[in-house]
Amino acid sequence: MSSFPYIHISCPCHEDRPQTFTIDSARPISPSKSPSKHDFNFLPTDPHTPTKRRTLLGGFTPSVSFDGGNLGLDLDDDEELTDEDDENNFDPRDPRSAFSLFPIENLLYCEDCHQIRCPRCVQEEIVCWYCPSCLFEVPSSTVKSDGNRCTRNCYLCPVCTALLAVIPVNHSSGHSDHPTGPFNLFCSHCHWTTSDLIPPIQLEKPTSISAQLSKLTHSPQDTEFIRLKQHYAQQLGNAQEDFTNSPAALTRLMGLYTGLGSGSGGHGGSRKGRGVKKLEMKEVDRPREVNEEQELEIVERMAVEGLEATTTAKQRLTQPHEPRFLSDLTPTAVLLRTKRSKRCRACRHILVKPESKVQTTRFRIRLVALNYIPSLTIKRLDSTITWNNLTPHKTHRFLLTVTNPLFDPISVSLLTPRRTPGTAFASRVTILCPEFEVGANTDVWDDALMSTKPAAATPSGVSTPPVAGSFASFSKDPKMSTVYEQKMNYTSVVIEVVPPEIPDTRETRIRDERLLEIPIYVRVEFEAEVDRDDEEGGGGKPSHSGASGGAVQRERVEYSYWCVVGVGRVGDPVEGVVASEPNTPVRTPVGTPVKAPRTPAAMRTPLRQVRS
Amino acid sequence: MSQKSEYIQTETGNKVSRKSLIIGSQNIILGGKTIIQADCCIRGDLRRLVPQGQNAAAVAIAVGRYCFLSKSCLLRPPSKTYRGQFSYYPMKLGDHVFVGEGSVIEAAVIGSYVNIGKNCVIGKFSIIKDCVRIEDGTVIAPNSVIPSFSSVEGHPGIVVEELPETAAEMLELKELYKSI
Repeated sequence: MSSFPYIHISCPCHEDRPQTFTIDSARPISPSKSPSKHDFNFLPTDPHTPTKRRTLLGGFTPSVSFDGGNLGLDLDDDEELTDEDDENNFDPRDPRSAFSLFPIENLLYCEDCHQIRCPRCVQEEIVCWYCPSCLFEVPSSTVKSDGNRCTRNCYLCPVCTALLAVIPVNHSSGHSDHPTGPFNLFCSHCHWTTSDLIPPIQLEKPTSISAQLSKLTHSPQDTEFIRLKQHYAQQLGNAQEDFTNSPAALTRLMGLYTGLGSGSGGHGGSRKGRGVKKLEMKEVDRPREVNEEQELEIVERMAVEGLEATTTAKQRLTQPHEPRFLSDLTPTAVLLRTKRSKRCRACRHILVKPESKVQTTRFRIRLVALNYIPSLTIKRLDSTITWNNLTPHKTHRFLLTVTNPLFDPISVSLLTPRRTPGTAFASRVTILCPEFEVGANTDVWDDALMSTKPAAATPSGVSTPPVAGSFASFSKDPKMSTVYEQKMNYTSVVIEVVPPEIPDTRETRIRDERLLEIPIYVRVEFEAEVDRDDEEGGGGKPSHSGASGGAVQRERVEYSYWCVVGVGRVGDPVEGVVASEPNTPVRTPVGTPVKAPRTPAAMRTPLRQVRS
Repeated sequence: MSQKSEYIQTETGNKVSRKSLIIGSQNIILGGKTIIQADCCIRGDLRRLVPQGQNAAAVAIAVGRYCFLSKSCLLRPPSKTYRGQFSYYPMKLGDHVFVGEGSVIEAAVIGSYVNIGKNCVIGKFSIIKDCVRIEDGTVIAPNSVIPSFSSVEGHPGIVVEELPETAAEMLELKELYKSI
């Protein structure tokens, strides 16, 4: 995985299979009911309450009573509680999770399904082929006929894969205006040239290298491949003629395969129909011949030239004739690259469509998750924290920032299991202010506002009193449990992590127990204009519907997703820092709802829900 | 956070470290809001050989906006002998180009939104297109072309990964400029 800290978002596709059989067996949740409503029954339904609630949180009343009442705070209950957590929470250590976790940059968003789409749940279509070296587009007909390699002058060094340059064999002729042949292909990285070959390859012209090389380096394997290809192309042609037009196509097709099952039985011309005399070339059945003399020669040559003269597996396998010696390698033509458009697998709508011109990096359609779902970032609040060496039993404070890409203000709830799931060495995690609002994104980037540094943070006059100041001064401040910093379209809150002591045994190393990953359930609610849905497919951002004429209806939209915060690695225990208190932080329960929702239930419904 | 006094700020918002070594500054164009850190060396003196009598506008190195040249990197126009005549050729960097510590750049063209890691060598006359990430320690062979949306790694550098569609946002350096 990448370096710390990282935040990966779970694509709902990872729940595709389990949800088919866990829905009924588990807690009954009516599909019509919003799962989040069910699971977050302590959440206010009134859109304005979050603000109110935050002030209430200062006195800790509602949450504590909730926590205490339903789940208890005793340590005795903890075991049970952890078990339950494991069952309900997204477990980043689950092997299944590994396939669905992506950084937000890699995710797309389908406007019709209202779902995150990861690279696994999109379908790709090739827009154009091009050579990554000369950047010329190759028409798909050429790709079909000539293969997926550059047919111009782009060749790679067979030894080190760098690009080859054409240079005249005779350097002294460089003084003349037009260097005369013969020419070599020369690798400016490892200084391999085609004259190193046995026999050396020298080109007459510095242009149309492909044509010249194909004449010079023609291995028996190439000839065989061309013959095979021709044969099967012919077969395919015959077959299409036979089977697409004839009414008895299916019967004949079936008969063809059953009759040919035993191999050579099909070679007789007794069967009616034209093109079905034989399907395979005769040579295919023939055993591959090994010329003993040739092999002995190779062994002897190895003995003389040593291992340095032999090819590596990688070098050998990129060549059709699989040469054993470096001097038998031939330049490889550059593989083509593609530009691809991407479709949602569920609804077939296009999510990404690049411009077909090779050299442009623009997109006609680009529905990326970055423009639709709030993104999280994490920072150290205390700069003495080293990501790769978190002290056990010490409370580490991080700053979790939620940035809103939408043009509507959103209210966010962050939920995390109190103990990280899926491991015997669970860390305690507390989000000090789990519910807050994030302002709307604006069309006009106000640079002045953006550039204010956190140190000089002044409350931007919105609903909350952000706390600014040095770390020491507010570490005891009860206000820390409120929003730490709130700016235009992002809000930061504090997250506390107390990692446990993890012994350095073989087993823990194999399981990588010291890796500290925190699953966080992000739930977003906002009011959007209804006509927003009509603007689909317009590409780009979920635009600020400035021209929305007529009656503007507002609707409440909510969606939720799991993400995993890779906070770092737990280090060795430090003298003096011991688990003195009960492993609970002082203000534990404030906002950390122990019960995060069942993932399948949450994900069964579209990411984005519209409530009337 | 660096000290304010370490950098000289130009009218267009470029911040050039006093400890950097810039040679032939009359042949260097900085697009604005570009940061040049300490111990960087930019060889503007290695410019194209102009035949006597001609007075061509000689730009050796052109750098776009919001570029970031980390400590002790070297920008050096590529050179070759063409028709018996040794000459340097201009180098062009696009916008939002990040050059990591200790990297040596001899490219002909580097596009926009390019991130070059630490201790890389970008060979002579190589062309790097837009939206490319070059991992730490990569050596890009001379004359190579790196297409858009590539992540390059190795020795010689080969494309190991395709970058997502959001590459331009990921590699943007506006925030980095503000943090200095």
